[in-house]
Amino acid sequence: MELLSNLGLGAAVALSPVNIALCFAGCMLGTLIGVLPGIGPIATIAILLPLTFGLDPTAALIMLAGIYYGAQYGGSTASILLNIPGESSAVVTAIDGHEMARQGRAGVALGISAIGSFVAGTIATLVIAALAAPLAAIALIFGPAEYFALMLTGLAFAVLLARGSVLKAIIMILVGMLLSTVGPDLTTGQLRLTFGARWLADGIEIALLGMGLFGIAEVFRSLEHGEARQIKEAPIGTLLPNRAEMRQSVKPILRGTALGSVLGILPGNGAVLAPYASYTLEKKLAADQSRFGRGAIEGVAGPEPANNAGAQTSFIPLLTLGIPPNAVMALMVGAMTIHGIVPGPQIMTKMPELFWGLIASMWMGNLMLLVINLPLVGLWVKLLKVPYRLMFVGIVIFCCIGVYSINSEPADILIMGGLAIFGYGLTKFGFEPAPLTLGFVLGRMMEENLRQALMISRGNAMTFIERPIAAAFIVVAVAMLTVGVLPSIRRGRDKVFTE
Amino acid sequence: MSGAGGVRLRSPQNLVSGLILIAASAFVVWMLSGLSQGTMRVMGPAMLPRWTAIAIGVGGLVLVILSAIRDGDALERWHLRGPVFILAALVIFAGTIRQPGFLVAAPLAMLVAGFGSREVRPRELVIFAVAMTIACALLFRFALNQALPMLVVPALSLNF
Amino acid sequence: MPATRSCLTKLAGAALLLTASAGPLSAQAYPPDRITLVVAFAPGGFVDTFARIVGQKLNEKWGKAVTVENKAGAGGNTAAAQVAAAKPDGLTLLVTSTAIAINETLYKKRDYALDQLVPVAISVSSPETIATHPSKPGNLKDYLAWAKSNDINFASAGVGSGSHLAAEYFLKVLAKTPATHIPFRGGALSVQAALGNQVDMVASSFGIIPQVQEGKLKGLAVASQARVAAMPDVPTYTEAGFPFIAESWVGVFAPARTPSAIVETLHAAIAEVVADPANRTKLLGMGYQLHSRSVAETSAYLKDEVAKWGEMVRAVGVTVE
Repeated sequence: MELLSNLGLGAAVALSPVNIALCFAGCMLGTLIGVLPGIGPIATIAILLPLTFGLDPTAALIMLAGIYYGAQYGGSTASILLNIPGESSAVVTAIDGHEMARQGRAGVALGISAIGSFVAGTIATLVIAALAAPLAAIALIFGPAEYFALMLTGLAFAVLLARGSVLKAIIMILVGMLLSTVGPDLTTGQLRLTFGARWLADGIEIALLGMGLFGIAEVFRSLEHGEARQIKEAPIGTLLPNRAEMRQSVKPILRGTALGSVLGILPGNGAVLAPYASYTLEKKLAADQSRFGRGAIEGVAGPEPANNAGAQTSFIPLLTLGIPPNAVMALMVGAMTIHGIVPGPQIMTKMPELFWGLIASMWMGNLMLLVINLPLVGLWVKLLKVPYRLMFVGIVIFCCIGVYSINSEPADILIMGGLAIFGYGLTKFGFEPAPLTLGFVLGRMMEENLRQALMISRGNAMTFIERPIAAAFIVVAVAMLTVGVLPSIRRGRDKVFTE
Repeated sequence: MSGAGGVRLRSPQNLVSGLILIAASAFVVWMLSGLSQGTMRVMGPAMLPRWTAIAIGVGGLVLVILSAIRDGDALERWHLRGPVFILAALVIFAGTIRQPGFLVAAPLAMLVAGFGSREVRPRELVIFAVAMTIACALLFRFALNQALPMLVVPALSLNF
Repeated sequence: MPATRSCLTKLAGAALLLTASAGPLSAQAYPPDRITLVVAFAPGGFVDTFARIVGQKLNEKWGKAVTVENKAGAGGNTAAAQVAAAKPDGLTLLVTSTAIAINETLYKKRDYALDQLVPVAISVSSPETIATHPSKPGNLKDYLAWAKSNDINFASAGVGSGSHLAAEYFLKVLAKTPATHIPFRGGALSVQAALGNQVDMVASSFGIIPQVQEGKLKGLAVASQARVAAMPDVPTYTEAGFPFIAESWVGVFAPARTPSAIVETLHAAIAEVVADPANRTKLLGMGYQLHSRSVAETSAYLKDEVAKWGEMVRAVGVTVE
């Protein structure tokens, strides 16, 4: 009952006309700017932050939450339409989402993404409202050893992510991990693999990787085929998902939501795993796995809600522990600081209006997204009618601007070019870039957590087995690898022998 | 594999990619030679990258072996027109964005990139480049207040 | 609701600008044009937040656009080098932290010299603090006694961060109780490790205050002259018998040859930002200490800081390429 009265308080705060308007404006601007290729959620929030300066803290946070959801969704839109993921979660959406767009089903992909995100947002809001405090306590059980084991499990997922050869997927993960070690070593400050070059001295930005390996490399691939590779025009009446597609998506949406909600709680940025985990799960559960990577709706209907639910529950460590789990949340802390709010354990008790108002506005933000984006789907799909000979020029210039705006560093644009050639080469040799991205994202966290865990245990590697949660994850990881690798080895052997 | 002519190459794609991976792995291991690997308790900076690189090399070796025993794809053709023009565009953009600035960098880069497509129509491309430059300038510099130098010509003491 | 209304107007303005062009700018002596605040770190940290607060106020005050440009890299040196090389017209400013003083000794090579920059204002600071999980022994004395027999470790925001240096200098040189340093990626994760009792101690500055206030962490000592108002129960190092002061601050710098009139104008404007009652309450509430130093005093303070952190860096024995 307390939950209901709390949500009631929240609704009273969030549903004031001004706050509704602000939430709407935030979602709208967030979507419009987030959809620009190369402008990820972090850049979008930083750009729009000054708009909230004049507001009272609650209103400002509500608007910021709107901007955040808008930016997230805008990013997914860009990666579905143009295959330009600006962050690691959008990489997963792009796999099947962009394939759907190329088959003329962009509207369906965007629609299911909006609907799925709304469902996920609704459920995650309830999870936060009901369980925020106890969940935060659980999250603290996770130390470096547990995170390392979790990341290991995540990498095992990545093996199953691949469309083709398992061996090649493993190699790609390793290459991603290797790329993540470029730059200064966290523990000693020594530079690694930078070739003495200043512009590599801080490592490689994930946004560069996304835009290079996917965005520009995709342009290279498309140009090979000329206009023939142009996106097909959607037949009338299929702009939004039909009933059969909706039915197909229900379970993936719910499973994705569950995965995302759980992983988002972890303060060490567990949410980044959510879309990958969901994609793998859907692929494993599907009757016909070969559809994945070729425009399977579950490939969007799972990961998108997972991402959104994770984005939402990652507010839990922020609001209850004061620990921002990722860069976006760190920026939210900055924003809160501007308004004199110090995120931490006391927020819930000392500022109940703000806390519950924010939670209610999360749900409202998700509703706004649906309201804003369903009508916009038509507009976005129309955008695809721009002839490709001009479209790719636009993509290139937006990627340039996006990369330059991250750090005002021209050399970053060249790195993006290099990564694009690398990505083009990968496909020429039958490798896929998606596992590489996951290896890149997890590799760095994995190495850091491994080293921290070993320093804490004073060099005793048994720490990963003695700690039950870590041990459980490692068992899962090994099981996943076995499940992933064995069939393909057997299949491979059969092939060899039947020849 | 009963032929007397020794091992038959069955997958050129795997062979070449395997060889590239082995070479890259060796290169990385060599690059890391100056860094310490550390101990179990205090791992050095080279530990993880070195073993990752070695694992990649092993993966490459397996690919090379597989290329002899399992059928695979032939090497694909690289189409260089698109990449060449786009890379040139990126280099131009990177070289001119600081000085003389976006108003020069963007149209130049777009004009060059446009020729990456075989269907390029120069007149249309020029109009598109100019329109996009103006739109982006207004959007990023004025509406979004981003640090994007527009026109910087020290000789004319322009810094906009 | 005047605040809300002005924001809505701004919003409408931004929306208009998305499609239309820029508004006209009025002419003034200084600043003649757009000001760029180059922030030495990524968006999200306090340095970035402070820059945005200042930027907003300067924009309101002078009616000129203020752009915040995040230029993270090489521990803040990339941004410093950029501003050091900028035209000394007061239109390109650097917003950075204690890192600029630490890096003088920490980094083997830099692309600029500190005398290419002039400090405009260093007006907010937060003392370095050490804290531990509540299950660990009580006050600093007991803690050190326990630590001596337990081979302890401590977490910080990273190698060469102010928190790392201050804590390790204290443990190694002052308390003669060496501990293993476990660097984390950023202060938040190091605090988390302490909250979960994964590490024996955490070194941090203002980021730790909410946790100490709530009793989730136990503050052992703050490296300031007097106790911090936001956590009055935590003694200073001096009280505990180790006279030691180390504070993290945020500073605004200009290229060295900037005319002193402009430096003074900027100094006054930033002082106004900090003195603004609303900002004051917020900053104090977060555990910041506010200082009003003149430009000359700021320069002298910076010099002392470089020397002090330099000594700590050498004593701890770290260097970064």
